[in-house]
Amino acid sequence: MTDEHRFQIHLGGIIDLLSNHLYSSPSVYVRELLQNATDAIVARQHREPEHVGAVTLQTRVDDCGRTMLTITDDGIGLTEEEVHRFLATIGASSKREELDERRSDFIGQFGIGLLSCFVVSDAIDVLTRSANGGPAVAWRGTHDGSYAIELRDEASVPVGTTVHLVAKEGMEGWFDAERLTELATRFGALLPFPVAVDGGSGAQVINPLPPPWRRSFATASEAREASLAFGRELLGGEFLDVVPIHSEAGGVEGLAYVLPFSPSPNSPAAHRVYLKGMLLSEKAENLLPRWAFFVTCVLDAKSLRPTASRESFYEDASLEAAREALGEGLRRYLLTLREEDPRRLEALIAIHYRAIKALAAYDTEFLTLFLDALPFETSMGRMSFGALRARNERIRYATSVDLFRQISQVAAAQGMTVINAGYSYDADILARVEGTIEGVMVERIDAAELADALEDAPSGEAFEELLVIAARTLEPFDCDVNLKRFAPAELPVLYVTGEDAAFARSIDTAKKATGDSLWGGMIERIAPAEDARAVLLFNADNPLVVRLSRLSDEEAIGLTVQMLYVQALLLGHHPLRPEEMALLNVGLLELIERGLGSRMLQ
Amino acid sequence: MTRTNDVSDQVTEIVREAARLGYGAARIERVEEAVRLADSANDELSGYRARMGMVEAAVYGGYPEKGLVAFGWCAAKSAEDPERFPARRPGTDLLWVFKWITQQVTWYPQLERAQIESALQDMEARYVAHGLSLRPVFMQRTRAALAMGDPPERASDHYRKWQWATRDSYADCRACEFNFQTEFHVARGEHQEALRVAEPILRGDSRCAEVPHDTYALLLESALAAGRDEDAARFHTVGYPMIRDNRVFTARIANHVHYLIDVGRLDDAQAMVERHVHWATDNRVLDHQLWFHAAAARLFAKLDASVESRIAGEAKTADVLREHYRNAANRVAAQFDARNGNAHVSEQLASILAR
Repeated sequence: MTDEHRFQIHLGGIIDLLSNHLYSSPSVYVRELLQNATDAIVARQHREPEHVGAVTLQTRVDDCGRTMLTITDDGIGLTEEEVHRFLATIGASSKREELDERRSDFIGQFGIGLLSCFVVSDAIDVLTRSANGGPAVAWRGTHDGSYAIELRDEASVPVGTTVHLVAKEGMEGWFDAERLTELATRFGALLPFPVAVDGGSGAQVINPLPPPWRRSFATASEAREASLAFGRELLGGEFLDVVPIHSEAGGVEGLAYVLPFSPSPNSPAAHRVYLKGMLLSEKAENLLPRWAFFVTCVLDAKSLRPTASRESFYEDASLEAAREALGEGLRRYLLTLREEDPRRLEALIAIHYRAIKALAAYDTEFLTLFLDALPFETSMGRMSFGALRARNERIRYATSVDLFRQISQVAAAQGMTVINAGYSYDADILARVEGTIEGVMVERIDAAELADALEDAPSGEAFEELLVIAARTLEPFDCDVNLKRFAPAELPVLYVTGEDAAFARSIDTAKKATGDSLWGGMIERIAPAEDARAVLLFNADNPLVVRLSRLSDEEAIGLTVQMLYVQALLLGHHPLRPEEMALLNVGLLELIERGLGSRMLQ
Repeated sequence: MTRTNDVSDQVTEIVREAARLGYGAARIERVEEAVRLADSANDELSGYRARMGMVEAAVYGGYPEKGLVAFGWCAAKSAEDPERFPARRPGTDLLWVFKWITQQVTWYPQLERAQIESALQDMEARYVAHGLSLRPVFMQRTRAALAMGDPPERASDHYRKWQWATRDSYADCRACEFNFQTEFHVARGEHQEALRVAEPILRGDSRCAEVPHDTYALLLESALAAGRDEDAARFHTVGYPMIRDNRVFTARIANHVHYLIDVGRLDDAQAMVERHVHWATDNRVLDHQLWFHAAAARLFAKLDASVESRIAGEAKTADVLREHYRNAANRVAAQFDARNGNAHVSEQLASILAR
């Protein structure tokens, strides 16, 4: 007995929706078929706990040259009523969101999954017999929207489902045995029952072994080797180390691989995540804490809820709990490494200190333990905090690279070590150390403080005239002057500017470019209100400065001050503003002229 | 010529390298280096490129004022010579970043109403000139009307026009639009509506650089108001780690402080204020500073007067800190009122402090 039916929907539209919106590539049909088979086997295991299950994908070319695929599972199968129900389900879905919602139920997923086959095949044949009894049902649907159902009382049809597809023209490649093996491995490598691909030369099981975390090993190093090999195979790369991690919440298990290079904290390593053994995403992002960007993971979750796009998980309490547990696993790994394998830890920190710092910035206990091992850029070169602490009673840090550059040379000459804390997390960590870790003296320093820390020069009238002329000369450049004595003595002057003064300078540059335009007017108004002025410090220990102070030629003093000012700007990597550029050009020529003039007079 | 080419290559390289860094101070420093390099060589084209990188790094890295300065330079250059400094270009372009700038102009009380209006008009004129939909302009107008306490009808009017305007490639992504819709309703106390429009974001379907980070913080108050305490707890646990590393979220962290106070977790609120308050105090964006200081003042008023807090390495008691932050917030609110020509901001502040 055969019933002819028609879909109550425009199937072409649904297929278009699926292929263009829901699925990124035709390869997804393999995922959907495997998903259906998996769901069916899991459903049967509920009834028959001893049931293991098996799936076979068989591909062949028939006598007429048509490429065909048959996928067989021994899952729960469908009754006639259920077949009608899945058809109703897909018929009622016209939006992506609706389709996605219907996936949550077995029958809905079955129908939607099956529809994806229309992307590669014009007709779908299903032969199924339910473990719940009843006759076998044969269903044939075609892309034009018509379908036929036939009931067969043949005892030879086993419980389970067989789907048969014939490749559309141009889609034969998606049925190729090698490609099927690759796809089945990609989507189903973690499935807990055998999945086999048969290209005509016998069935090959693609998942002969369970993942390492479900196997037992004689020794830890054996487990480690197997886990690394598993990662090599699945993720295609060598890793520094591997860490088993798991979470009760969400039923998550898997392995975290320590990356052999330092990734950008902004594009964290993607994780390969499975949901009950089926691949959910190869670039899941939100399953680990943000600081954990030094690992890439392979994880299998039992009960987390994927988002509609199926690329990440829904942010709910169990995800947060899972994230915390997985983070805790990594944290414990680092702590254990510190105790048991300091050399490996050292190698890890050398590459991943940013991630370690990201964790330390928010975790006081961890910070206390790891602080000494963390590297920092300092005025004495790069060194660990431990080394810094051994050499310095008080550790100072500059919060920006700019500031650091200005003061490092002078600081070093004073025997002062300064950390360049302009990099991610450094300032946060050091600010935290300041308040929480006993016995460590850490302080933030800015240019003005450095200037204060420098020794005042004996207030002699000797320099008074120089300072007055210098102040007058530099007034148009919003720069004050002061006298100090500092090492290195070869350095005649030091230009110091705070955050505000630097910002004021950038505003000034922009203002010159924008003129009286709307934007010029706005920019001017957000300039720092108070005296954000730079200071040029003269070094009383510098022979040139001393000689300059003895000069009575005001013009020569002014000219020299201008040149020293420009030179100090260049040394501090400050770009010259147009008027400073002019100073350089005119002043240099004048100095040359004077030099030549005095020569000629001799 | 060779020298200029060298500089141009170097600038490109530094900007590209910086783009690989996460948003934050380090990235800004890198781009500033590129700007310096271009300026030192007097290479304006490279300066334009470097400054575009600067706008992004600064706006997303917590120093939006640096973005405004860099943008001003670019906007003026582009207006002066649109052929050399094209407004539309591959990658980050001037018309796109315009939105980030008009978004922040109300944050500085130093800027006058007329200047803010002109900035929006300038954006509109350039969008019209390039044949773009005015959708983003209406969105920014809605934002400005809310921020400056304009009559509610005006904000609603812009909001409607925003929703009606066509989406083209210069429109914000769906996630950012949903997020601003949420912000709009939260600002008007329409908490149910806020939770409703945020649904696609909360479901995890719509994400962007600052969404859902921003959204979770915005909705803390709404979830509590709607009696959805479990959701509020989730928004807090999930949302705070997303924003705690970037000072661009200073004002949003204030929302988390309020949440902790609301649920009686005063110790946690205190730890959060101690951790982040320097972001507010050092902030040139007075709007962000104000709302964080307001949260700090509210917290210290709830603590016992003698409880000590370590801020900037110095221990002070809660009563002293309460006065300090309340005064600081009041001062800035008065500045905003003077600019806005109404008492919107100080009233908002007073209602926070009374909570």
